[in-house]
Amino acid sequence: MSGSGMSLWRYAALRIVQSLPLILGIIVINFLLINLAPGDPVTALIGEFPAPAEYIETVREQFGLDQSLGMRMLTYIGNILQGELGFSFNYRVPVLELVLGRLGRTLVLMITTIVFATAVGLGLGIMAAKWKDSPLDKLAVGFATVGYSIPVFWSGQLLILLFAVRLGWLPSSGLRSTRIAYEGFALYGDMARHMILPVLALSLRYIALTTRLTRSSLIETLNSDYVVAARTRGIPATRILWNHGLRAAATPIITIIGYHFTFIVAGSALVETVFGWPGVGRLMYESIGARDYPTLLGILLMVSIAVIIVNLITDIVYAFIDPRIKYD
Amino acid sequence: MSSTPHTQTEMNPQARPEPILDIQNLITEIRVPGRSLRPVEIERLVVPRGQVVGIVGESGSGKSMTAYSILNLFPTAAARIHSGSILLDGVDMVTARENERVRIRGDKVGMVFQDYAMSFNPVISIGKQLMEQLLTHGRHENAKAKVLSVLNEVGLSAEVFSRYPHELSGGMLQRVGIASALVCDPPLIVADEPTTALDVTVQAQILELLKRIQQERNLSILLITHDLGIVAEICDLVYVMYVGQIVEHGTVHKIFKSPAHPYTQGLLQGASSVQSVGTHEIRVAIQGSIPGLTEIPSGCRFHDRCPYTMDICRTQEPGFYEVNGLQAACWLHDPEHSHG
Repeated sequence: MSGSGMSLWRYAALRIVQSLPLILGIIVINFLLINLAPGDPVTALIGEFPAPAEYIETVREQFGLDQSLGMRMLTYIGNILQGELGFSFNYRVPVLELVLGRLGRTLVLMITTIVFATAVGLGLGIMAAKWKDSPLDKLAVGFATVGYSIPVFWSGQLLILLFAVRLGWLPSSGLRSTRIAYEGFALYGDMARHMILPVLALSLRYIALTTRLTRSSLIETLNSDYVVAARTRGIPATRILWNHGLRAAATPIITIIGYHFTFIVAGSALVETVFGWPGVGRLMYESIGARDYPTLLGILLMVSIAVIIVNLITDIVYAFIDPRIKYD
Repeated sequence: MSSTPHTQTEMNPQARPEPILDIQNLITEIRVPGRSLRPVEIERLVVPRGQVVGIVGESGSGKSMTAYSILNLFPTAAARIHSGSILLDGVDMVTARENERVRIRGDKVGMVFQDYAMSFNPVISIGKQLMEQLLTHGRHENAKAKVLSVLNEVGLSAEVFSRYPHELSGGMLQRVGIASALVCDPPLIVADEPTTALDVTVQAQILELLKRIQQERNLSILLITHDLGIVAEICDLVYVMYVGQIVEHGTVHKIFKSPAHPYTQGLLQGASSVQSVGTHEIRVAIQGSIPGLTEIPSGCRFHDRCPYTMDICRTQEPGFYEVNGLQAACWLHDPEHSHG
């Protein structure tokens, strides 16, 4: 890469500036969509019992819900520009504090899933490509098709049924055991045990995708002219697979990681709900039920920004892998 | 034809060492559902040490498959060597184990392709790919210096070492292709249409380069081409190939002066009539076109295009006859059948 240092930073800065209008658009659309949804946050807040109309009005005013939609949106955008994500109706704490408090748990779940699923998917894909048309290959392709088709909430419940209910090997839900107070390393071990099933459920689709993509791009690369040329130069097949094959297969695999980051975010909302994992996904689910609009909007905004950042990183990594790609 | 300097007789007039490449009774097959096609059936092809041997023929005559057969490595899994022997510097590439063949490829024989653009990994720098080849063949000592010197030898600057294939021109890439063929100092280079895909001016430069390197290193080159002009320019010996078989071979000088096989005669007439056009295809001054592998004629494979066809040509394959120092597989030169 010629002079990558400076152009890289310039490119990243440019992309960030370019994504600002995008983020603004996302905020506006999210805000309007949420307000289109049926249900009234104040009713949800107060509950089903009959409250005096005056009290309802006070609450409405307190949260600024008496103002017009346009006015509320402008206020909201103004607050965001000051780094203020609002105040949760449901939990009565600032949204930022609420989300950040749970973010770590979700990130642990997501990163473990991405690392685990990428490793397994790569392994399966490489084996399937290397022994193309063998029973192993057919098994991997079959698994990938099934894995891709099973929805996360169903595979999650199947896993609970098998490993938690029937076999009793693993806990069915939660972040850690509540009956025994573990400490130190034992606590991490306990949390890891609680993570196994959610990570498996969340990984399934991802493993399936990575397997199929690794397999197909590897097969294509191994049949390309330059691989034949490398073989005429006496480069052994295993070296060709690891050095030439995987390098070429890396670009689509990174695309998948970037592209399916959003699916993992969405999947984690489902998985956290099914497995009672107290992360951001579960918070999102609860916020929808409670009509907790500020929290919901805050989460959506942060997810949008995360997706934009992940895509930016993906594009930068491309250029490191493939010298033909220029930052333009 | 203008006579060109020949080296073959000057070097080893009598005491002939074993040739660098000796192909005998080679049959290469392509297995397709229901049958087996045979793109190559070569009785004998010899490349003496230090000489440039051309294989010339139309496209579809099995020239490239011959090149792949020498390495016993095919771009498609359907192709394989059916039988025969290919002695490459004394090692039979047909019976050698695969790991031994891997050691030989790129080390004892370098290959130059027509499609220079497709012969290097687009995402790995030129230097790294040449280094990879050297290191794979166990040449760790001064590997980088070796790569730089071979780049210099083919007329490229040291800067090319850190370049990627897409940053180089066609001519430069083909020089890299030649550098890669040379980097392990092999005694033999197989060049499959090395100049065909290049601009005419660049063609001449690459040809000059091959000629110079051949002389400096006393290399053996097997040059596969459809271009008789190139054969005249740098080859010592030439084999004429038609539908997978050798139909005539001998010294370039003799073949150009008095070709004995009707196919060679047609090729030469065609070549002289279109020399100025500079087209990639051979214009054969012969009626019809080369048959496909599924419709190989009986008897002499050339009989349905030959102006001198006799009855025997349709039923029996001719053997080789010596005609004015050339070997030609044609019934015309059989004393019993030639009718003057």
